[in-house]
Amino acid sequence: MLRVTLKSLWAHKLRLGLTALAVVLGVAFIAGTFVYTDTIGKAFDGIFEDAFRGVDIVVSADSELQFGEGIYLPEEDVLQLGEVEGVDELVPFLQGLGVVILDRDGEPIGGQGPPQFAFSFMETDVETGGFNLREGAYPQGSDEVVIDAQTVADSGFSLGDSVSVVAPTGPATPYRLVGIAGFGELDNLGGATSALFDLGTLQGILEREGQVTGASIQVAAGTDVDDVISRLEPLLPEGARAISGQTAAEEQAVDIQEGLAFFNTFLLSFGVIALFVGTFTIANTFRIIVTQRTKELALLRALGASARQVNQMVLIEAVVIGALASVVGIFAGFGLARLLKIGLEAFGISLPTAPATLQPRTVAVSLVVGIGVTVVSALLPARRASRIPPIAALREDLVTPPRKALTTRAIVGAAVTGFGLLVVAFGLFVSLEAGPPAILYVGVGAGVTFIGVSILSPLITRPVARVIGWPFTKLYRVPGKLAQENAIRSPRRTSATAAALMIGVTLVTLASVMAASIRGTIDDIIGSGIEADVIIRSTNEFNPTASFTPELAARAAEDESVDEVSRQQTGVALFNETEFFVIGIESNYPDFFPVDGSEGSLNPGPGEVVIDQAIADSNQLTVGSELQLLFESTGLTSFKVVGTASGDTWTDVIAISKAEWINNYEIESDTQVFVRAAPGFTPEEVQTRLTVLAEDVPTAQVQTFEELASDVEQQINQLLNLITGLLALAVIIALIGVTNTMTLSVFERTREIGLLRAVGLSRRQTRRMVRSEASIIAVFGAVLGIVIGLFFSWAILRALSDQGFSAFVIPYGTLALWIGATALLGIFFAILPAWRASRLDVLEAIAYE
Amino acid sequence: MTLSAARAVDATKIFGSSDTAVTAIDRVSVEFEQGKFTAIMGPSGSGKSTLMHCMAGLDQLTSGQTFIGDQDLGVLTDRELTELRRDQVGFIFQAFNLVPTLTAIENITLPIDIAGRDANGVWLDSVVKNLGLDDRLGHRPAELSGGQQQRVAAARALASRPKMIFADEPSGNLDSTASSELLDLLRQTVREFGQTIVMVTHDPIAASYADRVVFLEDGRIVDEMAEPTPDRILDRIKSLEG
Repeated sequence: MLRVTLKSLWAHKLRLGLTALAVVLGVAFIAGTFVYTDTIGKAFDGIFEDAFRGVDIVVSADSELQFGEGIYLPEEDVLQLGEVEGVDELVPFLQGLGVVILDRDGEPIGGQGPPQFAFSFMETDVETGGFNLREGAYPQGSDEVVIDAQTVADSGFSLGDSVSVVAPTGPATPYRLVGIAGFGELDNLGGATSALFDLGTLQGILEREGQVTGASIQVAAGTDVDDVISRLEPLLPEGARAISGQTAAEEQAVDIQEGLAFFNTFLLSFGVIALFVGTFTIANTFRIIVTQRTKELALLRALGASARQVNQMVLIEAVVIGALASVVGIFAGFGLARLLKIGLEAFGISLPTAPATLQPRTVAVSLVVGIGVTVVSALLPARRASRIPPIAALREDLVTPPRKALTTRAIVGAAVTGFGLLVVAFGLFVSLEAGPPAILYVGVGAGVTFIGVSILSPLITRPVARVIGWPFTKLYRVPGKLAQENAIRSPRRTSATAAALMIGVTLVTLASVMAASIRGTIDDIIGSGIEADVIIRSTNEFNPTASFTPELAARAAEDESVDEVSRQQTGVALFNETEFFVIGIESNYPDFFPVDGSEGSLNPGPGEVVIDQAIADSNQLTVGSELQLLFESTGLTSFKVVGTASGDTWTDVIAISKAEWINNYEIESDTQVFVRAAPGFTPEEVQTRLTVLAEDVPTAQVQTFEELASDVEQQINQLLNLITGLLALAVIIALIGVTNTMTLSVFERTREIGLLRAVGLSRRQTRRMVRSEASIIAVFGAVLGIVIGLFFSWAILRALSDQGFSAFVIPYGTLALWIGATALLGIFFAILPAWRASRLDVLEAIAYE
Repeated sequence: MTLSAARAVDATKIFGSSDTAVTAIDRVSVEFEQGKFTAIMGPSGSGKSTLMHCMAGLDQLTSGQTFIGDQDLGVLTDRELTELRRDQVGFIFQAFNLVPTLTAIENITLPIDIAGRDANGVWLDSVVKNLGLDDRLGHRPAELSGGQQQRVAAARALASRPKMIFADEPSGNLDSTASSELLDLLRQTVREFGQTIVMVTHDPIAASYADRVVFLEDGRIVDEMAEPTPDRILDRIKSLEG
């Protein structure tokens, strides 16, 4: 039997290729994701190994207590550790975020994702693999800076140039570039910019006089590292710990791996979607192939093959195709990993690289998934094959095994769809609070729903395909009419092909509606929720806590175009072990952000906090209750809830007074300044005047709310484009399904096409007929997808309505565009089968004998 | 004099090349008169189907010429041949004559619709009535009997009033009643409407419905007969074999 299977496979290479293609693409994406993230992971491992090479012990704040900008230690206490027996040399270090280097035009460098670091950098006797001086000298004194090699190269600075650097709290200050540093062999730290100063200078820039973030220790020759650590421990400042350099490297690597794992999961989920779509495509292809081979399989039955053997024959075929496709997919994955890198870089996400890595795990997962998906897809078609009666070999007409009645289909389909929707609803409305499992429920539920709808869809193929086909009958007349009829003649095939496309379009619709609704919500807020005309905020739009000097708010308040300003500070703190943004507000804040409803006071004083009503509700807090916030610098602090507020702009707000905020974050800088125009001044006029006032702080920008909205919109669109781009794979696999179906249909209808050609259908009309049918199928899939996508997004937005999503916006234009696009893509992916159809030898087609 | 509706001049068709070359028809010259019903007879492999395919513009000659009316098919492009088949030739095949997704009337008007022309209503009505299909027009092929299917095919061939109708074993799959009904109808259209029909068959009874029989063997015309009867045809075949 195996020999028969293999020979049959080899004899039908086209069939083999068509089935395999869907698997190849899906596996390639999964393998590519692994190769890519493994490669990045390896690059990061390399970075940290380098960073701690030559460092025996690292003293730093306990990383488990760090969740924001970092914890600072008293320099004095840290320096004392140098006296401990066995310590040969101790180098205190300081690092900070949000220190921005300006390019030659005075514009901030970076801030589009990777952080903007500042480090202390000193000449030491010990060779460490961290930053090393490549050119020039170490920075000394308050006017010298060293910058990482990549930033220097990108901006075209050379040694001796004056380079402006902006601190989180101050204006741009010029420094002389005295040196260029590398990080081990790398030119920068994973895309970040790094400005290096001597310790004292950096303390001034960060306003951290007398503070450090830690120290590197080199032990004396012949001393045991662990012994020294145990001697250090009793002397460590509070919240600090001492670990070996090796442990530090491993910990950092683990942190990065966790970050990458999320990224990996994000990408893999698109691979899984693509393979799920692939199962539809493969199953459909197998089903058609089995139908076409009815005679051949029946002959085998007639010659004595058992039903089980026929079943196995189809499954073995699936295994062989799956294995071949997986192997090709793994190789293609390498190419895709490169594409992924290029694509993500185009979206501004750049990560360090190393030579491409292929781990055994990647190969194993790819093979298991590739073969698994193919075999699972072939299960039902194989069962159908085994039911072909031997008599079918002898009969003229095609004998197909009896199919389930339509009512059975309706009942089964409705049950599956209903179950899927229930699981989705459970995920959305019941377990959403629980976090990640909710997404799993929604995902699995959606998958089941897709299967249910694909079972149901043959029932509506006829009327829907008639409507979709109507324009083609008008446009192409007879070929259009034939295409319409062909799409209807085997509803199961049409709908199975369309169902694959449906999945991708559903998700694209979901993403588009969500994006449009978020935009709508933002428009609502800006339109009615904020009583301000202009906002001053950081140019770093990726970091919500990026701040700038309070000087700007003071200048703005003095300007004659300004009626009133309100400053806001934003920082991270833990509440109930969850990270929250805690904002510092001034007493006039509620005038700028009117509430829908409130209780108590909206003006927190010392030791007091105002919170979002929803947060209060879910934590059983009322006015008068206590809540505890954990700050990095000051630790656990208790606050009394003096007020609660509800309204779009108060979503997720935990607000304390400005003074409290400065106490707990030990820094005074603003993240946002809201400005109301004085009578007689338009927002644009205010913006122009304030922009002039902020000229020496290029890290801050002055925007009208219209501009802010369009900025946010742009970011949402970028994300939408990224997601749509990743979903494109699923759409392409579905479209390959269209190619498969049309190729096999053309093959199956050889006779009919020959007849049409004989009675005068031109080659061009033949091509139109095939392409139109493909287009009808594709649009059918798109319509199904849009309907389901709208429904899903409606449900999700309802579930999220208490989290500030007030609008449900249907992007009609985008959806219409998708219908148009799928119509064209359907035509495009049918070019080959259409060409084959038009090239059919008429004589061969009508020959019988 | 009678005009020729179609003719072949020294038509030769060779399949394959060199060693494996098979000469299907060998310098055949034949003329089919307008308004006549001609049968081409011959055993399997005699080249009768190949001759018909070449004369109908479905296949190309290796050498020689074929004409529909005055049109030399050899000089036509594929597109022109398609249009010629659509507008000037009608076909009736042995099986699979109809597009399964179209109704009877849609099948009948298919070549006219493909051309984007309007059907001649009066003519169409009389064809449909003559072939006894009035109450079957809305049915799909699967709902029709074999005889009805072949009559729909005949109606399609007649609908556009082509110069020529080529029929390839049109009654081959039918029982004797349906077969004689169909052949009667074909002869009637020749008599009443002046239609020209060329029919390929190996069945002496079917051939006896024709005005003239052309005998083909090994790719050559070996004989022909006017006013044939089944017995005369059988005799002739025997003598040819002998």
